[in-house]
Amino acid sequence: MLVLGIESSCDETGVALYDLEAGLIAQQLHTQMAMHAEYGGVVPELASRDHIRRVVPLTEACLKEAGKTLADIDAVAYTQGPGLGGALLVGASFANALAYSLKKPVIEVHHLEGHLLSPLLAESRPEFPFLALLVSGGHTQIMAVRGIGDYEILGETLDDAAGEAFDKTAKLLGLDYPGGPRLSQLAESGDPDRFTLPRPMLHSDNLDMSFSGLKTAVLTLTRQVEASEGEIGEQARMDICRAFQDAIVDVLVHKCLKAMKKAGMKRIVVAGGVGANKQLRAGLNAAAAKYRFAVFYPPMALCTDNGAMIAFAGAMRLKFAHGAGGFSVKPRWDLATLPKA
Amino acid sequence: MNLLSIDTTTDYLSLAIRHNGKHVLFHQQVGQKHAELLLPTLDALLAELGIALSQLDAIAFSQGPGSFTGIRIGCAIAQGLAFANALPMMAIPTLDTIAIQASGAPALVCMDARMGQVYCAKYDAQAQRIDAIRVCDPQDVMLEDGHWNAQGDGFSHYADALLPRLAARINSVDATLRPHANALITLADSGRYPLQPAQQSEILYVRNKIALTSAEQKARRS
Repeated sequence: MLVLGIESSCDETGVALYDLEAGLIAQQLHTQMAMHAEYGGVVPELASRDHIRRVVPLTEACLKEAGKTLADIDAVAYTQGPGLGGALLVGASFANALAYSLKKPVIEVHHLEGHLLSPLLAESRPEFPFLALLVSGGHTQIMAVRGIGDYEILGETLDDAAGEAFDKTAKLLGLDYPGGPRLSQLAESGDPDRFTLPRPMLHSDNLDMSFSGLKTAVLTLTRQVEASEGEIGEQARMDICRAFQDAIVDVLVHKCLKAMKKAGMKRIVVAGGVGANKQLRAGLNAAAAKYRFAVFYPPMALCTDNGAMIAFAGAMRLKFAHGAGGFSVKPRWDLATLPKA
Repeated sequence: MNLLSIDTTTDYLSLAIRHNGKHVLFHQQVGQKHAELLLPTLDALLAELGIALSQLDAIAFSQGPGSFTGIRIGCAIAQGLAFANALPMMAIPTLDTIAIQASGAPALVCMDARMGQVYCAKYDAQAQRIDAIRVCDPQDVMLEDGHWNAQGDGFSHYADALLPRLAARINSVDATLRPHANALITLADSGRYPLQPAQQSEILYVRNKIALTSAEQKARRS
């Protein structure tokens, strides 16, 4: 069974082919990051305009990469949500028209399920059940995953997603969009002992998190440094980045440990763009060694949005495949409402 | 040429198929239900003719201007159909489809562009466009001396800003003309538009300034 996966929910157009026996056999990705950088953030209309320019060439390139033709495709999976409505519609329109023409079924995929299952595409793959930390620019959730579609949200951010906090704080520190990765890079050279920022909700008795207050804390800190030193020097900025990253990582690791205990899990899976963060990985790896549990990450290339995770999630949901035709997208869509596969 | 034509640029869904002299049409107001209705409607039209898409020679579509989302649904579906069936596509500007429906005299076509603006272009008596399609405020629509037909819903949405000012040069007004799949087929026959592979068929948004860059935002604040 060969599944074509199409992702177009935000600022990445991804197309991939996943075969139930051979695994992931081709994937193509176009990121719009440079285009949106000029605007200081993702402009939804421009994102949609770019998706429609990319989706056919990427599909063609993907088939070529795999040495397959359209006739080899058994089903077409596409991201139905959540995400930007106009952007989702491009992938959904193309996917349905393609599947309709090929007389093959379509499978609607939840973008976050794609992320959640992407560690299963790595060489060392986790068994069910596992705890999942889904952490990206749009989401920060801790879930108990007992099977495909069996997801229980144990805790989540009450305001900003962790990746969003990174980007907003980076902007505040004058870093160019997308500032999150740049902030992390600077943090590597920062002094961990110079500043300490608060750890919001660290000791709350639930698994929820809150990151929006950290921006204000960073702003206050920069003003203090400016007042005492006259300006934010290069080293001071790195030290602030370090303090910020330490705070976020500390909260995430702490909440994950708490959730592991509560849900009685022995494995944790990390997915989403922030899952590529080196310090977060180091923090979780250290905790895993100390408390004897296993950590799984998606392959580095699959941390950002991509078509591979959509093709894979589609392949795991073949029993929900149905004829192509009229369709809709779901810009907002609760992961916990997915049926079990 | 055996053709499928698709227009999704307004709140209508307009689809037509012409195959070996037979012709079927769906042309209805659907609001924002293009995604929901396009493929099932196409399926019904194909069934009515008893043919498969692969028996056609090309897919013509309204490339815009019009509803951004609507155009993209039409274009992405047309691309999926064309790519899968190895059919070429023909991209036709929306305003051209309005002009062709009442040729015979020079025409000024104005289509509602929302945000208080119109998309407009001028045409000769053969419905050949004689200037570039642009988006502007209705009071900035200019017209040379002559006897022009005024066409398109811009003349009902912005009647006050357009008609009194241009009245001396306008012969007749038809604000009811709207994009139509049959007009796409007529235009496809004209030979004015090239056949292209799916990946090269472009959307014509006309309204291209969508957001301010960081530099522009900064300049505006200072």
